[in-house]
Amino acid sequence: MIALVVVGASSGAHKASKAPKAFKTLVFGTASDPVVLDGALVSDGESLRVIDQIFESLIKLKPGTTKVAPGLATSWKTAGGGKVWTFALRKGVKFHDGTKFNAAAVCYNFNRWYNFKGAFQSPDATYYWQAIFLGFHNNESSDLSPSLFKGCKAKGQYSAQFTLAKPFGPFIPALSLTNFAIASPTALKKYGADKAEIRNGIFTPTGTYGFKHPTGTGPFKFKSWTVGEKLEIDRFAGYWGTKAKLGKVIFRPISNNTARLQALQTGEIMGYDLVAPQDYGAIKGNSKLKLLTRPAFNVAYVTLHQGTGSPMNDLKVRQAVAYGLNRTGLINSSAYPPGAVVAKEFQPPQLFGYAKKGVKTYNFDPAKARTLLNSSSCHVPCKVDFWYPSAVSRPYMPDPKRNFEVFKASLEASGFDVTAHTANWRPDYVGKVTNGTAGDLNLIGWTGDYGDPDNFLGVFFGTFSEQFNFHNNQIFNILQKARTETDQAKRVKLYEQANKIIMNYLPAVPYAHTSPALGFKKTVNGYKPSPVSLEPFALVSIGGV
Amino acid sequence: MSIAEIESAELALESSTGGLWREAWFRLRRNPGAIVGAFFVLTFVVIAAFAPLIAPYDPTIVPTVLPETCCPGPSSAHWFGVNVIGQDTFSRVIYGARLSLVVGIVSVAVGLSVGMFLGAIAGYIGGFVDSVIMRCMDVLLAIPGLLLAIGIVALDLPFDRLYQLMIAIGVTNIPIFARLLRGSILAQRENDFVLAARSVGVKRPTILFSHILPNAMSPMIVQGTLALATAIIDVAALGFLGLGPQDPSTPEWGNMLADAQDYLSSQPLLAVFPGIAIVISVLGFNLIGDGMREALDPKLRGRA
Repeated sequence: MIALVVVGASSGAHKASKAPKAFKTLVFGTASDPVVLDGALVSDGESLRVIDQIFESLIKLKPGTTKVAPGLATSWKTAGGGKVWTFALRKGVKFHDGTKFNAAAVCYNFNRWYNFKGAFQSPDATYYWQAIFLGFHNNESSDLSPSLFKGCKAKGQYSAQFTLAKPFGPFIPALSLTNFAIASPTALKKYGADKAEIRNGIFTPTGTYGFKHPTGTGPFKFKSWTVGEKLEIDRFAGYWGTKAKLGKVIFRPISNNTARLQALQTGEIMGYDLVAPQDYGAIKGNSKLKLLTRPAFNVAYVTLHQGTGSPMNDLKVRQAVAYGLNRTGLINSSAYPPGAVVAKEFQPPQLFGYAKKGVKTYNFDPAKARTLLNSSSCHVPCKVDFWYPSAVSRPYMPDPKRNFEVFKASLEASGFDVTAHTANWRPDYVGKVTNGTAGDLNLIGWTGDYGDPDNFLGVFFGTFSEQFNFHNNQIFNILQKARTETDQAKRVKLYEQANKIIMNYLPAVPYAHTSPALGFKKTVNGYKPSPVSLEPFALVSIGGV
Repeated sequence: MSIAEIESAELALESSTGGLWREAWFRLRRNPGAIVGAFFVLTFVVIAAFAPLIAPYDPTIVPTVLPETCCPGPSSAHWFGVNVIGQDTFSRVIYGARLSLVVGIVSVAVGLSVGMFLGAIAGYIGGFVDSVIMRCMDVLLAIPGLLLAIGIVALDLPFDRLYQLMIAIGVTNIPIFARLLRGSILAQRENDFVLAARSVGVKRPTILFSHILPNAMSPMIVQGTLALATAIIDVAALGFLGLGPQDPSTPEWGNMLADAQDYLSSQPLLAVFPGIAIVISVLGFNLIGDGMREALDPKLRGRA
C-alpha cells in the first residue's frame, strides 16, 4: 500500500515536471541500423526511413498514397518537349543548421550527385541515382550509360531549372524518392560528405556528415546515433510546415523478428515494421496493440529464364508453367498474410496503367498444362531446374520455402519434373537471379519505389536483361516509348497495352501482391502506412495515458 | 596337421559353442532396457522400410486448396494434422524415418569402415604411421562434431545434399572409430594368443584379421549402435539449421522442426510429432547400445 502511494506520488511529480513541454517520445523498433544518413548513398529501407524524417525532396507524396504533391518545390513546369523542367521553390525554408534553402542549394545537391566520382560511382553507393538517371557527368565505368540528367541552374533565388538529355515520363514521381532529398550545402562541405572509399569491396563513407551531421529541412533534426543501440531525432521547431507532434523519435535496432514482437508486447518499443504473418494473430489478439497494413505495392513472380537449353524458350512450356502454378491456393493459405492478392499483372492494381480487362489469365489447371506440354518441345515429364532463396523473408514472399514447396507440388501434378536448388539470399541468390544462372525457374519479387509503372514494367522488361534472357522488341519498344512519353493519358494507354502483351508473352509469371503490416501500440495515432514505406513520423501522436 | 589346420579347427570349435557372442546374446535378452530399445529400433526400422505402405499420403503432395489457417490439428483423415501448406504430418514423419535411417546407416558405415581401416593400420603397424594417423584424428576430434559436419556441408561438394550429409556425418565418426579400434588392437597385440600365433609363424595380416580384429570387434559394435543414435540427431540438427536436403519438400525431421518453429506459440503440435519421432528412435539405439555394452563387457562375463 505504502509502496503504491510512493510510486503514485513520484510518477505524478515526474509528469508535473514534464508538463510544460507536453511533447512525447516514440520508440520505434527497426530491423537494423541505417547504413548512412545520406539519401544519395543508400538503398535500404532502414536508412531511408530515418532520412525521410530529417530531409525533404522537391516532390512529396500525399501521405498513404503514391500521388505526387508539392514538397520543397511548390510548382513545376516543363518546356522543350519534356527536356527542360523549371521548379518554383518554397520560400522561407531553413535547414537545421540555420542556412537558407534556395535554388543554389537545390542545384548544389543535384550537381553534387551528377558529378560523383570514383567510389561514389559504384552501384552499391548510388543505386537510385543510377536507376533513374543512368550515369554521371564523367562515367568512369563502361557499364554506365550516358546520364539522363544534364545539369541544374539557379534562375533567381527560388527557381531551379533542370535539363535532361531526353524526355523522361516518370521524372516527377521519381523526384519524390528520399534519395533525392535536399541537404544543406554548408553541412555537406563542412563534414566531408564527399569523402569515401571502397573498403573490402564495400562502399564506405569516411566523412562524419552521414553519421553525425545529416542536415536537411525536415520536421525532425538529427540528435544522436549509437550504432547497435539507438538513433534519436528531435522535433525541429523551425520547420516551415505543420510542426511535428512528437518531441522525439528513438529508433531502436532489434534484428530478430520474434524479439521485436516481444519488445512491442512488453512496451520496450511502441511500434515496428514488417510483422511476420504468423505474428498477426498475436498482435490482433492483444487489446493494447494494433496492426496497420500498407497498401500492396509489390509483386512476387516466378522468373521463366529463356536461352540456350532452357525449355522456357517455347511459349507453350511457359504457358504450361503459368497454368501449373497453384497461385490461388498459395495466396489464400495461411502461408500468406491476409490482404495478399493473386497477381494477374506485373504491377499493383491501384497504379495507373493496370489493364482492367483484356489480360490473359491463367488459373491453376494441371490437365491443361499437361496438354500444352505434350504439344510442346518439352514432353511430360518436362525437366526444369527451380531455384528458391533460403533463410530470407521478403514482404512479397514471407517464407520462400513454402512457396517453393507449393509450386513444386503443383508443377509436378502438371507434368513437370522439378529439381530443387537453393542459395542464401545475399549475395549468392540475388546475384544468380540477376545474371541469369538461377535455373529455368526461380522465385523473386520487387517492391516499388515510386508511383509509376516504369518502376515495375520498365525495370523488369524495359531492355534486354540476363535475368529473363529474351529479346522481344515489341515489349522493349512499347516500354521505352512509355518511358519517354510525357502525356499522361498516352502513358496510361501504353502501359495497359504493355501489360497485355507481357501476359501473353509470359517472360515470367506474377503471383502475389501483398500488404506488409506494422504493429503498434493502440495509443499511437496518426501513423499512415504508405505503399512505398515513406511514412512521416511528424503526423504521429501518442494519445491516452 | 599343420598349425593353420589346428587353428581353424579351434576356431570352428569356438564358434559352434557360441562362446562370447552366445553369452552376450543371453545377457542382452535379460536386460529390460535393451528389450525396450530393441522394440523401438525394430518399429523404427519397419516404419522406415515399409514407409510407402504405411503412410496414408504422399508426403510431398500439397492439396489444391490449402488450409486457410495454420494448421488443422489431428483428425481421422490426418492423424497428426497437417502443416501450413496442407501436407500430412503423419506421412511426413514416416518418410522422415526412412531418410534418417538411410543417412544414419550410410554415414556410420562410412565412419566405421574408414575409421577401422585407419585404426587398424595405426594400431598394428605402430610407430611413425601410428603417430601421423592419430594426430590427424586428434585434430578432427578437436572440432566439435556438429560444427565439423556443418563445415563439410558448407563446402558444397558437387553431390546431392543427401550424400553431402552422409559424408559430413560419416567424417565426424571416423576419429571415434579409429581411436577405439587402435586402442583395442594395442591391448590385444600383446596378448598371449597373439604372441603364440606370431611365434609359430602365422603371417601378420592373418594375425590381424583372424585373431586381433574379431576380438576387438565388440566395442566397435557398441560404438556403431550409439553412433547411429548420434547420426540421427545430427541429421535432424543439420536439417533444422537449413543444411538438410536442398528440396524443402523432402520429409526430414529437423526440417519439420525448423518449419514448426515459427508457429511454436500457436501450434506446438507441429513440433511435437517430429520431436517424438526423433526422441524414440534415438532412445531406441541408445538403449540397445548400452545393453550391448553391458552384454559384451568381458568383466561382466559369467554374471547376469
